[in-house]
Amino acid sequence: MQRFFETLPGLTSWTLILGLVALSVWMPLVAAIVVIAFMLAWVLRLFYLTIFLFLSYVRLSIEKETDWLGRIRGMDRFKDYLEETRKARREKDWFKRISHWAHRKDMEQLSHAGNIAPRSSEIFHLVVVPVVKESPLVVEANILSIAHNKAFLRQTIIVLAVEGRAEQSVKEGMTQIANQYRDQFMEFLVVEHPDGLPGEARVKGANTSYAARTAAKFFEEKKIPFENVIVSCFDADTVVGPDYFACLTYCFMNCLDRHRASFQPIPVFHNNIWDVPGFARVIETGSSFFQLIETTDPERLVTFSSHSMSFKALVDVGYWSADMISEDSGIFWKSYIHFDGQYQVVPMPVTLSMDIVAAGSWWGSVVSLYKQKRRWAWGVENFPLVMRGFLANKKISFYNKLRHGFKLFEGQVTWAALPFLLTFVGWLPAISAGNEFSSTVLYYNAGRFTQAIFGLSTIALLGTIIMSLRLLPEKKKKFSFFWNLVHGLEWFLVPFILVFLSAMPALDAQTRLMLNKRMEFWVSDKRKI
Amino acid sequence: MKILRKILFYLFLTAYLILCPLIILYALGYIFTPKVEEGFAKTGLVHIETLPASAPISIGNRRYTEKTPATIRNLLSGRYDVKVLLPRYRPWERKVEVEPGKAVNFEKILLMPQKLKIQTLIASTFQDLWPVPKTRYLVLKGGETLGDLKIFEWRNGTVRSMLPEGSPFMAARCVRIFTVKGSSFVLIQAKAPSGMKFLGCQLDKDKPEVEDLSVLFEKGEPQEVLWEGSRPDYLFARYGQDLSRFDLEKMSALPDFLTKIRGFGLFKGKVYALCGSLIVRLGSNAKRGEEALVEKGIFLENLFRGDEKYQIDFISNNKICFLGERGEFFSNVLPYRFVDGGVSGYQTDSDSRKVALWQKERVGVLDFERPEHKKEFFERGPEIDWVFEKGKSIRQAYFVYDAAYLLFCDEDKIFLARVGERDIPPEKLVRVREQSGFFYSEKTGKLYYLEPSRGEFVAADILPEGITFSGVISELEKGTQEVLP
Repeated sequence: MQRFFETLPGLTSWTLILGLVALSVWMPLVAAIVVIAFMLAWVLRLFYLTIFLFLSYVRLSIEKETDWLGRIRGMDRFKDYLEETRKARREKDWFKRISHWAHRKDMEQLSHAGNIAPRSSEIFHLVVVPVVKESPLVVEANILSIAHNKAFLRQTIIVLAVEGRAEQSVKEGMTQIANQYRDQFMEFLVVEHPDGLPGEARVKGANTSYAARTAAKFFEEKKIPFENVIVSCFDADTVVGPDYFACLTYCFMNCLDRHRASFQPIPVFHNNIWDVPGFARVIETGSSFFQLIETTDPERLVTFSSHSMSFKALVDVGYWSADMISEDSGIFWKSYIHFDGQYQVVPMPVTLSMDIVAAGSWWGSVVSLYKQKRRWAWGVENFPLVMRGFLANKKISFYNKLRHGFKLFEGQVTWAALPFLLTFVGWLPAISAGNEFSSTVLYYNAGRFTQAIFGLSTIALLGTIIMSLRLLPEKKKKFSFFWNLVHGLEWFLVPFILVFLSAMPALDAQTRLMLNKRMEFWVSDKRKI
Repeated sequence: MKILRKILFYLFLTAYLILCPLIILYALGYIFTPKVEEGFAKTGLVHIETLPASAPISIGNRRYTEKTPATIRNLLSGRYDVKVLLPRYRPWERKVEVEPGKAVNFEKILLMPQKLKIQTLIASTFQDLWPVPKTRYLVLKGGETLGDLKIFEWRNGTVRSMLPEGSPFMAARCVRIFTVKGSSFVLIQAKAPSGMKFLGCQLDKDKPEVEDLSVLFEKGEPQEVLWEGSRPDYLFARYGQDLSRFDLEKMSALPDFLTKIRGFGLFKGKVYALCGSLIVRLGSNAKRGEEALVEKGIFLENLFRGDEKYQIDFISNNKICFLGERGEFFSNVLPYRFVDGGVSGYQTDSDSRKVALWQKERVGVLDFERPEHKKEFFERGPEIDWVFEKGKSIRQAYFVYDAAYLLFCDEDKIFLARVGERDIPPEKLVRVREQSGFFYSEKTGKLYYLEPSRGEFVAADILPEGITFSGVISELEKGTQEVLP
């Protein structure tokens, strides 16, 4: 069963690609019809997603000025605060009005459920930062950004989870950082994860789980209940804003079932966005957009990259997987199955920023980006585990199993196959057409429709370009008009980037899984300039 | 957001379920029309591309706003008159049968101007015109002597004498000019007071260069002379059944280089010869007797029956054409024997995939790349598509506009015929001087010929100006000349 589910995504992707190629050659008429149906579905989906991208962007804009700390302090005196929000004067600004309305709605739901959160002063933050070869500069930027969240410093425990196999210079660097910043936090631990523990693979999840277990002992010693701890697992290059933990605390307090939830911020890759080649900028912005869109569908949202969750939930499910590369999405599925489908991801209306892979040279960056995407695509390893978990679990409803299973499967196949189909195979019937097909009406009309559909998709792309330019951070140095124009036009690289730096790595990962060739965890090249 | 998501999802899904079948049906040619009983019908289309473009189209009684290249869609099945009427050009008209779901494709329609633009290139009287095949040179014969021969370079429009000034052979009478396709070297056979002369002439030099090679031709007048390249090391001359090799560097002759041959050809430094019904090969610089057997057998015996002589021509790496004395035309491609006799010449297109060949009464095209039709019971290979079969004295043909047309000369009239439209009579373009040659260059799009009344050398525009490369080439060559010391 495991092998069947491991084979399915890769087999489906290859069947779609090669099947349409074969159809284009042997039955170009049928292939042309399939291409039209497929392209139409794609362009409608593109518009559908663009609407949600826009809505998500609007939400992000709405909550940009929100005083999370004020809300948290208000929720500490819940009843009075609720009354105040009911009576509060209507905001003139529409954004603030919407934000206030959503906040009040959430408070009413909490009040109705009777599940009031602990006071904010009783909530602790555990931040686990895994390190293997990252330079101290990268990690220090992370710690500094956490340190800017002044309201929670005394309730924050930092754990630098250092791999035992890391170089001595890295270990020493982490120790120096710990010594330098310890006083600012409640505690600052450096935990060395021994190499080669039984049952563990050389993956990030093994390291972070070991660190979390160490932290659990700390909480037990200090008699801090796990229910009051929010654990955040950050990549080493993560940089958070000064209101991140306030927002996280608010989302935790506001959540109806806070111990059956993960909290997912919107990852953006802005740390070094203007210092990397254009193609890297485009693809990582695309990744951020994808996450933005995902946040509009909390029912099907899955944790990705840096995320947070209830520490109690983490302990209950047995920590992150110690033998899976994609521990970030894996923890969601583990929790979902463990809690019989009573688990969700709460989207946080706040971003956290990471580095784009930068290997020094243009070609090095291409290779690094490819490997990173392949590692992300290795999330397909979740599919067989999830499906087997669903089959074994009798409590999760069939509808939810179908919904999640289909989304997981369809997402992987679309990721790997869609760009190939759009970029190459769509044109194949016209190119490979023999005389028989080229003397049909369909031959002349198919190309016309394909062109029209690409024209429509350009409109959606323009919308994406505008949003991307607004979402991107201020440029650190002034660029000439020419370079600003180039930065805008970079988005027209999308067809090539989608194929070579998105679809190909995904297909690579699925094929490896299909052929039972396991991947090792690959640490991205990230540098501080 | 959840509700909005659901609403939008079902909205888009509905839109897809409605639009998808409608678009597919439209793509297949179905339209809703009150003109038919069922209310919807499967239509066909007509696709037209012309040169020059932007020509108005009318189909039936209706004039369309689209101009060529255009696809006229939503035509109910039936018979239509398709007309293309570009001002100052001859009208183009065809009757087509439009079938449901089918496209009628008219690609590469060459519209001819009502009045051809003719330019006088040399206002002198000439008797004949010989193209040096696959080169940029034409030989113009102004009179009987070698001094009357001119070389015209059609790429840049320059003309000069064949012989250098003061050449002792000026007064010699031109008997014959041997040329090889793609070579700027020509061999002139001339009759001088001192006897028959054979002169080698380099056409691509800035100043004319002639070398007297007569000493090599001791055996007399050969039936055939071939060489390779523009600076040949060897000439190969056939005397009856014997092949002699002349070394131009050493100025020596090797008679009987090969004997008892029925024909020979040169390809990539090797000599291929038909000896009886064997095909042999040896290097151009090989010694006598070093020939190697290439092919033999009953098959060749059947193919090359009798003892006729053949010209062997390697038109590409893997295609060989054989032209017999009696006009038989063969190839090494199935079905091998294409014409049993009467072929007086042939011309390949620029890719050497097609051959235009002509007999006295007809001219046709042999397409080696013809795709196989799956419904054929017998595997046939390429066949000759006879474009025009009512000729009287066809003597030359050229491919025009990517081999979509043929220009040919019949009884001193130049015609333009479209390949694949046998039923449409060819268009008469111009008259040429009696029994003179003509030349067409796809690169310049011009037809070069001798005007019938005064014998002036003129050029007529066949392809519209602006789409040919001649202007670009001139500019590039000028640039190159400026750079070279």
